[in-house]
Amino acid sequence: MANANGELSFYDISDKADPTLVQHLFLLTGHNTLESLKLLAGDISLLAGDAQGNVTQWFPVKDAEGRRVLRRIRGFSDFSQPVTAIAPEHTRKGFLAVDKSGRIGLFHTTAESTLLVERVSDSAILKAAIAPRANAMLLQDAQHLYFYTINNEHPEVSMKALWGKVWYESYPKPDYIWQSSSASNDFEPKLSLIPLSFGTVKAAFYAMLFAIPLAVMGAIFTAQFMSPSMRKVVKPSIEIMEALPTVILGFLAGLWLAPFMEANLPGIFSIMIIMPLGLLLFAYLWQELPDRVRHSVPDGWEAALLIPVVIGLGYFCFVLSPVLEDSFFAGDMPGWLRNELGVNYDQRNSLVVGLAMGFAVIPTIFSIAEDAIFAVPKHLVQGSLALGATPWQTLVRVVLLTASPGIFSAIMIGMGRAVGETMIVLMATGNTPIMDFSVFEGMRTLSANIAVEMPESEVDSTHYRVLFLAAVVLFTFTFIFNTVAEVVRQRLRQRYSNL
Amino acid sequence: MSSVSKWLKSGQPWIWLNAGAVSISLLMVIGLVLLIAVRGLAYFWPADVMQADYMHAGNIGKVLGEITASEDLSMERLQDSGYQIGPEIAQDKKHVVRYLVKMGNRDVTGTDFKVLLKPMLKKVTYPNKAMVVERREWGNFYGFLKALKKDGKILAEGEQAQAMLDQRLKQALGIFDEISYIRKHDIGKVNYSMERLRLRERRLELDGDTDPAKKAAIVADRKVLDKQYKQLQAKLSQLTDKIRRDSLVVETVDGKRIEINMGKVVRAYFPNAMSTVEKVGLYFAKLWEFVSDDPREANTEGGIFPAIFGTVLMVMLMALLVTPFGVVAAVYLREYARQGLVIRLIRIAVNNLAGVPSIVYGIFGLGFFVYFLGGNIDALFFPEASPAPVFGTPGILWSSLTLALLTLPVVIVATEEGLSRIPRSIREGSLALGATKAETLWRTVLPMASPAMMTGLILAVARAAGEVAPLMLVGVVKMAPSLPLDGNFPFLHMERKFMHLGFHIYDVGFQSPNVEAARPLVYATSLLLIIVIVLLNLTAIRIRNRLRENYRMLEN
Repeated sequence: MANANGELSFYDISDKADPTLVQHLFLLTGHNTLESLKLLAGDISLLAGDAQGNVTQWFPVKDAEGRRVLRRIRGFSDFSQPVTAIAPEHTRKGFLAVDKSGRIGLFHTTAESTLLVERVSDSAILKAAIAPRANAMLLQDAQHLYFYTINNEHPEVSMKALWGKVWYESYPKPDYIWQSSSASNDFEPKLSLIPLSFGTVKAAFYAMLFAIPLAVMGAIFTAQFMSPSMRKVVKPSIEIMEALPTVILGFLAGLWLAPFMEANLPGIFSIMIIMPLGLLLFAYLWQELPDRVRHSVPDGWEAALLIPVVIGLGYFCFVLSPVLEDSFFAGDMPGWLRNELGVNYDQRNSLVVGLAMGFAVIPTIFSIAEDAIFAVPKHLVQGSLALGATPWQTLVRVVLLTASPGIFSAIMIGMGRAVGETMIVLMATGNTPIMDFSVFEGMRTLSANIAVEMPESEVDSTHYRVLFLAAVVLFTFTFIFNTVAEVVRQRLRQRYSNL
Repeated sequence: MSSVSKWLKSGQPWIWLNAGAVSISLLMVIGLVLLIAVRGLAYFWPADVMQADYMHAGNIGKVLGEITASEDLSMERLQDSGYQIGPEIAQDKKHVVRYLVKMGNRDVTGTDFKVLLKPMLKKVTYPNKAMVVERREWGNFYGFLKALKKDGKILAEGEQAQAMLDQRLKQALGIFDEISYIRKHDIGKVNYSMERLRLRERRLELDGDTDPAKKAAIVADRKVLDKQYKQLQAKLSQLTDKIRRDSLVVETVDGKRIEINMGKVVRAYFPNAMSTVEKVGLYFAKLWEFVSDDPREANTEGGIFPAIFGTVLMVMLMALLVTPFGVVAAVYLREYARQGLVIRLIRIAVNNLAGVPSIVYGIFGLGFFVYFLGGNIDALFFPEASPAPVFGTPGILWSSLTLALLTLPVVIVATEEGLSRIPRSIREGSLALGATKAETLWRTVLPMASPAMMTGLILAVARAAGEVAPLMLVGVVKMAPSLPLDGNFPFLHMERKFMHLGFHIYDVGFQSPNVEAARPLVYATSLLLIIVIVLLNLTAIRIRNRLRENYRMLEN
């Protein structure tokens, strides 16, 4: 209930016998009068037009005490004359407003956009109506009746709606939300691409965290220290690793790795610490062995020698896992995380995605980085060694320095691949578009989002177009990574040919 | 201690760590392939069927089934999962073994699987009489054979029934094959012709052609088809009656008797009584069924033949499309184009194309090929089919085109590499003998580079065979009613949707209602896909290596 001064009383009538007053407030400030008041489609928001030509949107928001009170969400002040009538669209969150000077305006609340302001009459427009499909309007001034068709296809989309924080109906505060469709008709589509871009970056980040060390270190060893005959086996194996269909990696990640990880979480974490330490320990012990034993393994076969060690250490970690879990995490590490640390644990989380996608990215980075390191002119290496540098000094000071642009471009290309990968994230995460960097929670990426929603979206609808836009964003991401990588690589090739 | 710090200073530890990275990467690849191989191959093995009593919360029940998984579980986790620990488990235990038992009989009990703890099981036996029946509906049945029936009368009971089972089943399967042949082949053909007639009629209407002779011809054709259809229908119902007569009377472990129609049985066997040789035989029979049969039960059982067929056909179409484009582009870039800024930009573009996410190709294919090209083709050539789209909907043609775009860089790069490795002396020799540039290219350079092109093509095929994301948008479906290649004119139906191995994995693994039951099948499908792709890649690597050797010999 409201009066012309903009005084509004907000009643709760859910109990019809005993309506209660929730709130009493003023919609306007200063010397102003309320000219028109309408409910936006969906009957949640209130639109108020005043004498100064402002239209404001209000809807109930939970306050500190948990009561739902009306709050001013946003305003449109495109008119300077009093707003004489407001006609909300019937299925979308847009509305038509007219003012005393004969101007009309088309607005959209979620997108916070003024789509059109135009003068159609010299006198005040008194009444306005909009067609059910929002493709025509009927206006009336003192003498005439006007009929206009409206071509207003995708009003929901604006820069702000896609990339900014938007205060959606019934939400406590402005937020980035992706929720493109729902069962109800007068639903407010939430089309923020931020959670999806965030998810994409998050997935790529965890994948790179796992892939970069393994791939680059592996490339260094393979190119610089490995014996040629072993290299002949290793390179094709890694190429085959690259060829493995990602749908298989995704399937294994989702249905095998995720439950396995949940059951052996302490083992997974201990492997990250025990594996490098164990390898170093083995290397040291090996060095202390008598020469006769050491020379039985030729130079450049260290990696082969380490294979049983890696198997042993890995096995040890998983044997250790239940022991660790019993003694430190009350027998249930995911439960412990939840209860003791308050960290939510999803079975299909970023750790799973990081491992699976890292697996997919390792060969890409590995083979490009390996090529770059291997192509470092041999005379540089030999010169350095001849001057008395140790192999490691030669590597760090000469080889890596020369090959660093190549390694950089390898990482960029790997990054591009991780950003665009679809099947793994689709299958190994819960696909919830959340904004949380926690390693124990999932995400929804741009690519997975397209794969999930495209088959269900109506051709040429706003949703369909936004999905195309998501593809453009994805393309832009990878285009930048790949172009930078390619330019760096071409430069490097020139430099090598000059040396 | 000094030796340790000296060792650390020498940089040796870092080298060892780097070596470790290689070993870890290698082990991950090998481990992954082994994991899939073991799980995939185990799927076909007829496992023994266990019978046991189990005690839970004071109740005693009976279970008959295969143990499909077992895990070691801490008591805390067990309690977290909502399990009420009863007296069957000793109090001081910290860990228990949990089994997942496949007990089938979904029509009787409602679920296929039961989770049981090892301490709950008592009196575990493996009875020789336990029978497994693979059915076309409701999944497997586990129980005991009681009798064979024909027309409601008992033919044989007990031991006798068991002896007669094979023969009766063989007969039923023969009839079933006949029925499905008629259904798929003959009736399919009639339906297809009917549809073509309808379109012809509609076309005449649209063209405003009122020639009575044409109309009469259509009516006459339709009459013939109708008659054929009726005949087939009659034959079909006769066969269906015949197959319905036989049935099995079986008893579940709880003593419930049910009757299974022989027409619904795929296979029945007594795993506990089988010798290893028999099991191996059954193993290969199941393996063959897997690669040659149609799927059942929403793809979670039976074979994957349509998926294999769809994948192969799509990849072949793609190879046809991508080879000319890729080779011509590479020849131009390497042989004719003046190396300058433009070519550098084109190279960057080609490499960029290789890095574009596959889902973006999918979106492009959907927007451009399907809706734009396909929509226009429909409007121009198939107005009679409207509003149903012909080419304006995802299909195998658009899938192969999209994948051809996706694999184009692979072919270009491989071909270019091949061309660049051909020694100058050979070109110059040819030119010196008076051949033109085109002749040199056609007669000497291209034949020599053909293995390189082959490598590129194989790599492209391997990539395309494993790609799923774009296909989900441009043509793959969960279940295609008919293959894109069949006996009806024009034989190759480029507009049809198709099934694909990769999508099959995604769909069965993640979208099927009964993931637990379908999981082994997904492993088997993955194994098949991996074998195909690894073989293709190994071939490509072999060809490339031999090529390099050859050129090296030429140069010297």
